Amino acid sequence: MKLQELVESLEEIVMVDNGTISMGTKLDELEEWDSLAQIALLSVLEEKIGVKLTITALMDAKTFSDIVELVKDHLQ
Amino acid sequence: MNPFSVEGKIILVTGASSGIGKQIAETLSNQGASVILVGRNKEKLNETLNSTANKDRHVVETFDLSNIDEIPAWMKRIVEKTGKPINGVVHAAGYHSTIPLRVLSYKSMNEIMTINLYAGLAMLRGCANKKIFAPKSSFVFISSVMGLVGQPGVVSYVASKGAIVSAVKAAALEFANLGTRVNCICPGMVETDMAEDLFSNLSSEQKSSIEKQHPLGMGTPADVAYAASYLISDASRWVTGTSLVVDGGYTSH
Repeated sequence: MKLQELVESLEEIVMVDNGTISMGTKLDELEEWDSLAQIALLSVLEEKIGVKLTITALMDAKTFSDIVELVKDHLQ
Repeated sequence: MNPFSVEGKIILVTGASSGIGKQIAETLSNQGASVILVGRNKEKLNETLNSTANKDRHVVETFDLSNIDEIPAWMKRIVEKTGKPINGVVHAAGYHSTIPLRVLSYKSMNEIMTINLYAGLAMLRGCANKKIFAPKSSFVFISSVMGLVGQPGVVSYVASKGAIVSAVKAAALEFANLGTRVNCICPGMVETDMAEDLFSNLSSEQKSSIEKQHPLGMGTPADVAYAASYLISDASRWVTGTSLVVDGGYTSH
């Protein structure tokens, strides 16, 4: 999975327009970043790059770059 | 003879390597049935076999239930091996997945439907044969309270379990003239590996909320196995096309 694909997946999950999310984006400023969105992201990560993160790891993330940090070894 | 007895009956149990299926196999064996233990993992099936009563009465069968169209022929082969028709099936094999709608793909929908529903329907097809399935037999699906009510994030799971609740009504009508019954059990939250997995993705508030919604607390696999034993036995001779809810009161709210 490329970084851009991860960006677009998250944009779809939190129902924002393409181009909204960047590395510095604060997750709590995204209206739809709730537990369902977190589970959706976990599911996409498991399916697309075979990585099984925990919900707590995602809950601890404050910015989009925190999420990228969790999966950077698996991104192309 | 005790109408609740399953003594001497030959029962095929899918999902016998873990959780509810494993317990059902053990409970039926303790009650005197011969069990055909079906799963994909031979090692785990042998573990189940080791915890049954009268080990030499039972048979281990590894088979991948996603091979839908091969199921009837596979059932025929089993009966040819054992030399006697089956008296009951409990389809306990099943997947759970938490995939919110916004990322739900055909692939994941199909995976869940294939094992939870299609495999069971294919086994019903296999049972439409008096040499494979003796008349006056009993077919039990393990559905879920999630076939009756919903939760966010599990639409495809709910759809598969709800489909079972409806399917058994039509299947019951097709098999009624043979005296054969088709029912499902709708368990609430039961302490199994599958439940552990589910819980690992929830916050502690969500977990505690689910537990609190069960007035009698969480269930055990044995709670479901006793219900399966009843539906397999002749005591439920007049019960067909229905869902037996075994949920500690979860759906009472």
